[in-house]
Amino acid sequence: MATTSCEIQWLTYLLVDFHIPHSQPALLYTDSKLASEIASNPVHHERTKHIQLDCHLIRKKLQEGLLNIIHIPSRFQLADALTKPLGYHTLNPILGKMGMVNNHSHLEGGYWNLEQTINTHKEHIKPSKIAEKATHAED
Amino acid sequence: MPPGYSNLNDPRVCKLKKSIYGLKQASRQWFSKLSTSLLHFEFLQEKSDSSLFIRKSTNDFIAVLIYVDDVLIASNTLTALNKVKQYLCMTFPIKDLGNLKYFLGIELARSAKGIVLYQRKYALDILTDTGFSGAKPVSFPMESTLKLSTYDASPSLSDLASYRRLIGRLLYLTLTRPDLSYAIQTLSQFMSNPHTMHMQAAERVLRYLKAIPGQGLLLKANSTFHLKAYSDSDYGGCIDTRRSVTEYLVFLGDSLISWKSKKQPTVSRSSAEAEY
Repeated sequence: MATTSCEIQWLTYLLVDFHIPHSQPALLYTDSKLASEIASNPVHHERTKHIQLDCHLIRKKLQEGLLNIIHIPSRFQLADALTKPLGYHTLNPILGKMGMVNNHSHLEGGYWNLEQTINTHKEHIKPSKIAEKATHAED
Repeated sequence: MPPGYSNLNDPRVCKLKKSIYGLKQASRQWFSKLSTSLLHFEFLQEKSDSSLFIRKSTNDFIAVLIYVDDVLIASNTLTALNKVKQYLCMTFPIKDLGNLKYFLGIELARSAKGIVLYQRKYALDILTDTGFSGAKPVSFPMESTLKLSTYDASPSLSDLASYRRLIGRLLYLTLTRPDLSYAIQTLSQFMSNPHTMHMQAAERVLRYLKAIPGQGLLLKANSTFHLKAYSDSDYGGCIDTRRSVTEYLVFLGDSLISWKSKKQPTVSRSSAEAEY
């Protein structure tokens, strides 16, 4: 979150340079309820451990009104695509939300091609699963 | 004295009157020449990005972005844009390439919906050079059960340079492909000692690339100017060092403009700490 807020800070400076007004605070979505509450609550609890410089940086930015931390459920967390390897069915909706488009789909056969990719994938996964089972049997 | 011209008996040396090509300072001299001429034209060098120059008056706005000797000019009025072009034409011999279509390997497509940034040509070049242009496509870049480790049991690669070169080329591709950034972030951890297992994972990325080489980012035309960011972390994500992986996505309105997937520099002691 500290790196994110640094990036937000830089982007806000850049927007100022472009003479684009950005008065309202940026929204920072996180799926960790704990982290968002520790950051937005300035009272230091006795039992809150491991709080370091980064947390204080975010608290400061919160108080300055640069950003707002909002908690969202994990299934809406778009950053998931960058934390763990995802399969086709979880990855694809996220990519759609990111605004990724296949620019040459009309040249490559459009939707049909996408379906075909899934099918080839299914064919591909079979041998690896068999291999997995074989290794388990050996164990 | 340049090599080949040394004469030990002659104590004289040459004084350079001009910073010529090939000198260490040449690029700096070029930038200062270009920037001073832009500053003369009432441009302001921006503090947030020193290669960005902006001129703002009551009714027009011009932004100039410089990459060594490639210059992008953007403006809200065509007359102002032409004036800048004329000025630059007088000062330097320039070549006008018209509307922006191709810049540093990134292709641009415009439509009423917005601008699409993609690196189709770059991706296809990688596929041809690695001999993967005929490979079987897959629909996602990395298997979700895959755990890669530096101490892999598979044998080390004999050709280390090819792995490093491939990851290096793929890294540049993440400029328009956030879907690849996790896979490539993971694979680039093994640059110093790649095993065949890692090469196999990299080959899977290539086969994913083969499935959709033309995928790119859409920057929507009718979008608000409000920053939204998503931040997440994977606690102890790296199984060798037990360091966490942190990542974020920043949207301006509906368009994704910045993202990162990075292993944290320190070991986190709790999942809450990993989030910061």
